Amino acid sequence: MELIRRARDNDPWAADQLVRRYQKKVYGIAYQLCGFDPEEARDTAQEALLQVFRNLGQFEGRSRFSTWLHRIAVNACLDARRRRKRWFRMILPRRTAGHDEGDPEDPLDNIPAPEDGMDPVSSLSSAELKRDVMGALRGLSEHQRTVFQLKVFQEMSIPEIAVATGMAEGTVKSHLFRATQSVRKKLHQWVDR
Amino acid sequence: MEKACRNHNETLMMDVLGELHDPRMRREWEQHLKACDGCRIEQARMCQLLGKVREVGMPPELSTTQVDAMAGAVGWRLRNERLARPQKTGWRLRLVPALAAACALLVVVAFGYRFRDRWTGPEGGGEISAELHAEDLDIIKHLDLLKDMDTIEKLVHVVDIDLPPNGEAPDQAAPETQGMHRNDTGKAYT
Repeated sequence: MELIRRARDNDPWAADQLVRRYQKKVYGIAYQLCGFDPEEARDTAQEALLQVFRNLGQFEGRSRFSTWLHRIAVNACLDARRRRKRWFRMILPRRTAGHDEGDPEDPLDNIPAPEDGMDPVSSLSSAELKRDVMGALRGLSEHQRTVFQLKVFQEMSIPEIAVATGMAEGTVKSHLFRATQSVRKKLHQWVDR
Repeated sequence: MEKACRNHNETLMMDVLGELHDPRMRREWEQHLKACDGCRIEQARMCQLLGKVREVGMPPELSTTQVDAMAGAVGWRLRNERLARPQKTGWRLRLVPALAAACALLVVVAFGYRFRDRWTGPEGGGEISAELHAEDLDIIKHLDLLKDMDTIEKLVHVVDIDLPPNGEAPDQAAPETQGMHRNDTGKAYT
């Protein structure tokens, strides 16, 4: 709390400490909500952290700081994703017509060289899983994907998702149900492997 | 392999997503699971599947360089934003520009008042223009008199030209002096 108070009073050291403490968490949120692209996630995390500091004056201490930060970071990532989507639509209208997540690269193209002691088969398998999960997520509508990602990756409750996305709770529930059904259908071959 | 019951599909989803909060529904669902192998297997499969999806969502570890770069970039941008933002100052310091603005306004108003006649038309003239107009009106009022004076001056001039050097009167009066009589000196007409 002392660190937050000092950061609010424009203490650069306190701000730096807060960034270092929470940047991995924010980076994780950005990675999961921005198409599993590490570079994009780093940029988005940076924006989200700035957003956190810009809104630090509004933190009243009613909830835990990590909860408050999580909410701000999720909203910042969703905003960044919307902006990115708009940008892609503007510059690549044809290309993004069928792929609204805007990550045209095949993850199999970017498999890193296996490190010492790492099983190359398992590395390939995880890249394939990533490709299929990304494919399954791309097959969802924008609302369904957002709701599903917030639920599965961020473990947010339906009311929390409703607040973050501005949808009604019933709508969130409906999107979540349909998204889970769709993902189950597309990834059924990965079960019992 | 046994299939999950269709009528329990939504409850199954809510359960694996951790959204089955109603105690009565949960109790009924758990009782159903004990009796239904298909739903129990599907529940396990779904949990496994969501586990795999979460596995994909695990971000790669940030290197020390990346951690430092991100922290540095955020700090730098925060400093820049603070510098760009107008500083909050005390009321005394804020009073200075307000007073300066008020003084400037007073000077403009005073200047405008002093030279207002220059910028107003003849209709809206002040005292000075009124005085000037009074002089003009006086001239116009006495214009007839001035005409008479002019006529008299002309006559005097004509008479002076017409008089011969010896001082004798001409036999026939000039047209301008017909009907007029010479005065005692014989130089002017009355």
